[in-house]
Amino acid sequence: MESSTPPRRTRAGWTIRGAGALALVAALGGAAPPAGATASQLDLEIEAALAELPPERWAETIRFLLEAHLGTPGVHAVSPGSLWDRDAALDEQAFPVSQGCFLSDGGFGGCAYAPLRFRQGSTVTGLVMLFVDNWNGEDYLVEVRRKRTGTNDASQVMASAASSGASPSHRIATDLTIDHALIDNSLYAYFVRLCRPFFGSQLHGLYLTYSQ
Amino acid sequence: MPRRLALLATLSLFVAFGSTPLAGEQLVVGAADFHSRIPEGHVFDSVAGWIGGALTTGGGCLVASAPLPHRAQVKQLILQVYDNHAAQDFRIELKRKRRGNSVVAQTLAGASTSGATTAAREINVVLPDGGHLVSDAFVYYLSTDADCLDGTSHRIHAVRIDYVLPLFADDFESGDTSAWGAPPQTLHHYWVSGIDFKNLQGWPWTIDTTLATFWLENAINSPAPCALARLELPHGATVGGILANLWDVRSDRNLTLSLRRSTMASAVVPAVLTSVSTSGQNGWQLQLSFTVANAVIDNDTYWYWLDACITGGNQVESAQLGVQAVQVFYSPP
Repeated sequence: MESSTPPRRTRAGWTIRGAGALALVAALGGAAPPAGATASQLDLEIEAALAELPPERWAETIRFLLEAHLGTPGVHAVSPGSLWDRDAALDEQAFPVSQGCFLSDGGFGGCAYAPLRFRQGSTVTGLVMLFVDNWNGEDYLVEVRRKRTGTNDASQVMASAASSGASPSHRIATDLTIDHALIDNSLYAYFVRLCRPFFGSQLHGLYLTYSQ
Repeated sequence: MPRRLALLATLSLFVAFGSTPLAGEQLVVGAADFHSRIPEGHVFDSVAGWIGGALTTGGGCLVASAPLPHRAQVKQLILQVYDNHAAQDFRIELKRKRRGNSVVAQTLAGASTSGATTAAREINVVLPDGGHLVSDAFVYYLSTDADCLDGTSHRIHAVRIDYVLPLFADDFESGDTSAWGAPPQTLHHYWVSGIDFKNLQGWPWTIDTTLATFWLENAINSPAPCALARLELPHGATVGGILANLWDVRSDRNLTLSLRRSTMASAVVPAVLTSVSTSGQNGWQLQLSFTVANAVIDNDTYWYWLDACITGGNQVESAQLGVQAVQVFYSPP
């Protein structure tokens, strides 16, 4: 539902309306974030801002903060059809097309993977996971990794985000502190690793932001 | 128009010296692009970043789509692999399958590992006759069917496919410059083949690598989940429609293929952007839809997928309903 609060034009050119604008401005002390803040500062800013916002405002808030810091971001959504189980076909997962999310309701947890393809020279700027995790036994963990393909070296973690604790609400986990952020397709292949709780959880979405 | 004249001068030099102006590209098909052609047939080490074969019956036969652009000329494969199996080798091949018929796929190039070592290997395979020209009448994929991986002593790190793209429009190199000044092509397409589909919840399914086709199966006679495939388009792109090569030989069942999106931040019922269905039982069918709702891709609000669902009942046997290829047309942002 659209709020009656007038839109606010920010210096980065984004228009944010309603509760999003109020909470964001409050979280940022009444001003747009300073350009050049470190990635870990950005992580904290986004975490603080999102905590005050309803889920439908998360995407525009992340976009606003990334644009203020890093320029217009590209956005790559990982398709649920890209995810394969590490040693089975997501056997214990259900993805009812009438619900549009992965359901973990028993069986095994385990990890899945999905390939990532970015243009050479892009810079990965963020990782965002949207989920419900209502089970205390295990948490979601999502990682962006790169593998140096001509070697036996283990893959390297570029970014990671995780759930924590149990709640029936929609939640979001982000990481904007990206290691090895510059895409080098001549040496590496890129992928997502997703480990999920085996009970009481729903994965609703996964996306990455990047700049060209 | 000095810029145009300079370009024409460059072009005429290429023509005069018999060279074709080409741009070198590389498609990286990483380990994470591979999967088994049956459930539970692969092992992906998600920390190390390689994929191996599972020691199950029929396991270790891995496949991966190779989404090469139309008119690309494939020059070379670079297989980046590991083989420390004392008794067995494995083989990776690049294949192509013409869409919409049952003529078996052709092998374009391939190579086998040989011997055992703990070192990472790189095997170069140069395509014969100066390379292979890619056509969108076919789907392209990598397959290990000729000699499957045997356990995790066999591993794939990646396959790199070197190709070149012509810099100019059709026939430009031969001196036909009639395309000069033509607007750039605005409609792109995104390929999904039968290789890319899977089913969930332990449901049986098969990828037929000779036909690049995913067969829906139901061995349990209860409502089957819909099979799922990737759909990852650029943020801001506008979907124009889909063209699908489907198989149906069951008079009392049909297959419905849908492009769907779901809101990531809430539990809103997913929306269908467009869909097509088979009808009758006459084998291969080309189904299309260019009526698209919510056509603009919004990657930080929704995630997108393709699904293939059985309609008209529950039970279906292998090779009765199948998906071979889906071409999604879109305009870039």
